[in-house]
Amino acid sequence: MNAQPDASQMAIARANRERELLSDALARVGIGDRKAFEFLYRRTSAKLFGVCLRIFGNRNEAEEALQDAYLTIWNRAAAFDRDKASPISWLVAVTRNKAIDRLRARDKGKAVDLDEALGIADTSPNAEARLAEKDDAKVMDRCIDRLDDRDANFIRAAFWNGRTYADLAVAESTPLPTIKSRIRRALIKLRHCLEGSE
Amino acid sequence: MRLTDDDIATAGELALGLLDKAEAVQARARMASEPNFAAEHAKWNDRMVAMEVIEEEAPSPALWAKIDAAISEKPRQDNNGGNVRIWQGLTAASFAIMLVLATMLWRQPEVTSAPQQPQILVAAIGAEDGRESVAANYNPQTGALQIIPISLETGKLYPELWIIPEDGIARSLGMIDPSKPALHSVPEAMRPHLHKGALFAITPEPEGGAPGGKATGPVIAKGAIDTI
Repeated sequence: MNAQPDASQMAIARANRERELLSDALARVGIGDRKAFEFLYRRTSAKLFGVCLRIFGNRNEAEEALQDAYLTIWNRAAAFDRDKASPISWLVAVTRNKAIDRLRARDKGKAVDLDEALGIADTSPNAEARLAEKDDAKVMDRCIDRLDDRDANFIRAAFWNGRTYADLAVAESTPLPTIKSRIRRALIKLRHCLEGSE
Repeated sequence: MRLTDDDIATAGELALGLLDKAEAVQARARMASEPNFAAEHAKWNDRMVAMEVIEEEAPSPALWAKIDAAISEKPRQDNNGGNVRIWQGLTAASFAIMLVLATMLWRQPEVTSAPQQPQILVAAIGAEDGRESVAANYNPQTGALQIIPISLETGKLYPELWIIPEDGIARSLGMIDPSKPALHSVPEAMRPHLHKGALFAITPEPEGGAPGGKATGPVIAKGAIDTI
């Protein structure tokens, strides 16, 4: 080990510090601290807006979804458990769930168009953004590569575009049970690869 | 308890939002009692987020002011993933009081017209985790059944009400409106089954009700009939 910490060690230290900061802020938001809430917003809104943009693809709807998400965060922060979840995962999960609810309400009864969902072009990792989690990202990329491309896209479409089994079955002209068992197999495969038991 | 591959896939399906409402209710119930399953569910969220790089982008500067103006004075402390529900804070006791109040309000007109007060039957139809709940009261004299939904969520499916008397056979009382209170007239043939001790149950079913009068969904809420 070098006396001089290398870039990735520094990145890990930064990530840990960020995690503590956000966990503290969430704890204070939970008891109604508006200053902490503003701090949290300044610190995380670009990331969470990225999540909303990923789901909606346009700024107007993404901003409405982001507003929903922060209202929910304000009201639910007390439920955040720093021992069980990382703050950013929790924030992303809340945001994603609110945004998908909104997306599904908007698209209720509309014909399903999977093109945007399945035609995800750029999934190449952004090296800088992933410095702190470089190894995780490598494992993830390797495990995704081992999935059938269509299965990987089904999984993305479900999580990021709110697609249900029924949507995927219709779009693929495939019976629902077939889609379901395909995705379940892919999930199990992905999980075992990620957890290193394969 | 060790997770099987089936458990792993189900936790993943729940995190990805792939389960239908009834399945999701069952899976969420497992999260409360099985820490391993809950941890696996949380990990799936992380895995999905890690699956692609989210480009950060600043929202418009005006958004903060909007959010700041929209939040309540103090957080409401919503603790579950469902929609905000006005009645969520109801404890069992206040639920019972509300049930009685609702029943009294409903009885008001009869008090003046009928000197003989009917024996009103009531039921609190709920899930074990307190998620779905409906108050019901029934007037055996008239066959009028009032259904007061408090929080009932069946997603793309529709709630169907069943009565299960001592013989254990579920008999459909028809679909109920999850959005507002409604008065139903129980068919003559069904009335003998609605008595103290009989069980109301609610299952999510396709539009128009369970095909052939057999429930297809799991029971998401139930409650025994009682007198007040």
